[in-house]
Amino acid sequence: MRIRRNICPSSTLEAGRLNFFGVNFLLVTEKAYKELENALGADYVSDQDFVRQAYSRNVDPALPDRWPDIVVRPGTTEEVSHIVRVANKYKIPMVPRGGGADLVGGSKPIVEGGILIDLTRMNKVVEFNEDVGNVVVECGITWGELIEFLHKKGYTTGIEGPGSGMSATIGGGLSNNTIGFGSTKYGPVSDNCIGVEVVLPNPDGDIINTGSGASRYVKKPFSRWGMCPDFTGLFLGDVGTMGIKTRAVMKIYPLPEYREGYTFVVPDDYEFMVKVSHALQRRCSWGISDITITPSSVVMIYSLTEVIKPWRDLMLSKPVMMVGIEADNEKMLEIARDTVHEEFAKPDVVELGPSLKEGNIAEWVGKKQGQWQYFHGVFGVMPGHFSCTTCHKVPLDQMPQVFKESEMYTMQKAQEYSSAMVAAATAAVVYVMPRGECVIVGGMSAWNKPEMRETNLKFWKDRLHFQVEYGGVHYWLGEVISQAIMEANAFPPQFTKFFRDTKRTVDPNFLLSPGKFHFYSPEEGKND
Amino acid sequence: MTKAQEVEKLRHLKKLGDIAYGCIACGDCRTAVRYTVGRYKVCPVLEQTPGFEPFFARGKMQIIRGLLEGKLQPSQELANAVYQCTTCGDCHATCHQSMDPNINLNISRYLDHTKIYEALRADLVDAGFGPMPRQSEVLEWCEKEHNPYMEPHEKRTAWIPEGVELSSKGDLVLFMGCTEPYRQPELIQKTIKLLLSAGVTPAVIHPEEYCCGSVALRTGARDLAEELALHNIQSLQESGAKEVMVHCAGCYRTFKKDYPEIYGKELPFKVVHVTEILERLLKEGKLSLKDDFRGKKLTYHDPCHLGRHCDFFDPPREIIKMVPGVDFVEMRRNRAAAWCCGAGGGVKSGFPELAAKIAGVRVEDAKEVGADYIVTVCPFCENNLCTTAEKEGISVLDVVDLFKI
Repeated sequence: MRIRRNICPSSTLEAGRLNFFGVNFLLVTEKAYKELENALGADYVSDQDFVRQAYSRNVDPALPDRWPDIVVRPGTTEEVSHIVRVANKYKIPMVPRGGGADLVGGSKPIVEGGILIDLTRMNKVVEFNEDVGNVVVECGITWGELIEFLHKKGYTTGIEGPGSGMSATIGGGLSNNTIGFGSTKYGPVSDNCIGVEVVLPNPDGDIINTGSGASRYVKKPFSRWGMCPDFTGLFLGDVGTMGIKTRAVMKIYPLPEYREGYTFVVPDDYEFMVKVSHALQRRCSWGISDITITPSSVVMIYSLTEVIKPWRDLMLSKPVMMVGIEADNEKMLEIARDTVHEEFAKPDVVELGPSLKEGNIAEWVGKKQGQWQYFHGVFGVMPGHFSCTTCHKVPLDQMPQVFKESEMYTMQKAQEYSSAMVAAATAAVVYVMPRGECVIVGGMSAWNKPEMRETNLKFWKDRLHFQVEYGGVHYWLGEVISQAIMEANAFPPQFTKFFRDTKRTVDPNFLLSPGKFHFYSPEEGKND
Repeated sequence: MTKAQEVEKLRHLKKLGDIAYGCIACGDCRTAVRYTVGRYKVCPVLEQTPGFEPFFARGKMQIIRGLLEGKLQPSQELANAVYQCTTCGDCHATCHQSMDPNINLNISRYLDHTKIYEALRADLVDAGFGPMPRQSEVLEWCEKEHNPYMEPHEKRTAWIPEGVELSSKGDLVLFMGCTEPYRQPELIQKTIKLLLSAGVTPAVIHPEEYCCGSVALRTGARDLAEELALHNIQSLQESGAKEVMVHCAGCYRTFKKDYPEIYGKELPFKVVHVTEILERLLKEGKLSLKDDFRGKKLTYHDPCHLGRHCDFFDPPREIIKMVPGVDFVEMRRNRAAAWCCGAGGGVKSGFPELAAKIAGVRVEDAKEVGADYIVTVCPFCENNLCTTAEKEGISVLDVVDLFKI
């Protein structure tokens, strides 16, 4: 079932359009196409207009559509390497893509055209290394597939993937240093990766392994650190700029015997919420898998729109805290349970439950894999609206102050926002991380129409600059946020030079994901 | 023609307003696995193709946006991809569906994938790129002889057993559909014998019964579908029907979901599925089940049009469970998450090989639970599943086949 070629008038390919290297795109893509077709087979290479359109956007209402020239679906690491060699030969940009649910424009072209590498065909479990506590997977496997595989064997990845984890890929999670339910105990996805297999974007398309897998004498990967610097980290959170991850070695943990979730309505006092979170983590770090804080504004959205029906029935309007616990035996369960209830034993705290029917949302999140949809409640309140996402990390202690500043910022912008139909949530949900970090999961809802995109992008970037400047650390970077970080001058010149030089080392032609971090060409900044 | 004029021609998509923009492109419609709620992947077509985005829901939605924004023009290649969809609606059953009645995610309330695909196909028909060649032949026949099976219209009642008189007027009308009268007459004969033996005598409205229009709706021939629908509604109304009984899952969906929309108001009669009546008669002791299945494993295949599209899941299961001595087993993908048989949405006629491959996957589901029989209530599913199933030593039956006559 071949996707036929279509160098046609509707194509974005323009005769005479030159790439960075002054090479005519139409001619090189034609040649590149043939070479890719020979290597991958005709079924897995396409330049049909409608195929390219289908890969032209991610999950945001602000960025313009950008069509790749060619879409490929490699099935092996060697094929990825071949694609990289072809791209370097003809100086064609490349962008890797996992599940394609990037919220900030990370898995579609940023500059016009190029080769889009859809990695979802590479979705196998390669090795299950129970003895050394890891699993080796191809990076196109989804969290849903991997979790099902591991649970059947009595294991888990700890953090079980981001929102949309049913179809989001491991590779995407690693490229974005993502967090998800389980992260309060297990940290971000990248903390749970002990090595990767990467195709470097250099002219030879070199394939390397990191961590203990770097050594030719190691029979199976088992450790991230040792022998050399931590090069695994170079490819985590890189949003697909340093290499194309084809395999990952992920830690596995025994699936806890018990998992429970509790939901509490708490006073509208962020200091209280911070104090309780710290106390829970200090007293029972082994048992507390999740702590979330849902501010009153979001509780009201969930309640009034009947997203969470029991909350509507209860007319909830105060903040809600959700706590997940896990334990390997009844005694541990009892300790974790008691710890939670002791910390929340305050006169103005109300526990919801025991089941979801009575409002215990944590039960659904923990037992029905609702973790992949918890944040979906704020999506698409109106048809055609979606979020300009601004998820970022701050120290938990600073969260109350950040909220105050964000509210003031929103008030200043209120008039502009309302005229542009942009609804600015100052925060959606706070997710507590280990070691005093938290993630403010949030964004601004905006109308996903072509005529609104420029305005949406302006507001979005303004807010990102504001967040970077108050010390927010974004992790989902893609196009918009990686650029906003650079625009806000977050990095001193020495760091930017180091960063750019490192990029030049792995990608001498700057062909992988050009545009992210405003890195476009190897010539830029060479003499800085 | 200007871009704006091109876009204006997309009358069916434009009619849906911002709904097509309701897809946020999260991609859960690609390969969602959420085993705690029985969700094991989504799109039956995706796996059988090279897997590019246009072969599942998110890609189609992006294409629709591209068309509506004038960035993309309809083409034959695009139509070929779009018609390779069974319109089974499993993407809709996954899209922001919490699988819990207490949680209703916003997008699940308004994004109707099947409706959007059908509108796209209707616009492709307008643009001259749809339907697929074989589907066009079928539709021409539907227009001429009111059935998609290349049979003369008058043969629609040839199945009626000798000595049986069925009135053309009555409170309860059996809408025969096309597949059973023309392709599986023994099945409709069994149905009528069961009903008669239990003292229920339905009317049939021949020669006024035409194809329900499902085939036309699914393949984008919206205008023909509307003609057929309005004809049938009027004829049923004239017959005095208070209750219309259907067997075919495609007819059921069309009557339940599409007819009220085409008619613009509530239908003047109630629509019921034949298994609802058979279950009632069984519980009243007016019918009995065969004793031939003792020790056998029976599983139930939910037809998409009946189950996922109309939330009709239980009566067939209730009947199967009452068969003496059977071991009823659910396939791991069942009810709203059931895997499509592969025949729907015009795929059987347009892309028979694809339909057969998908059927093979569904039969694997049955094999996985050790089923001896796949029971269903859709003649179309039965027809598509049986070839592959038989090779695996699994028989495909209709619920009606479980009854003693």
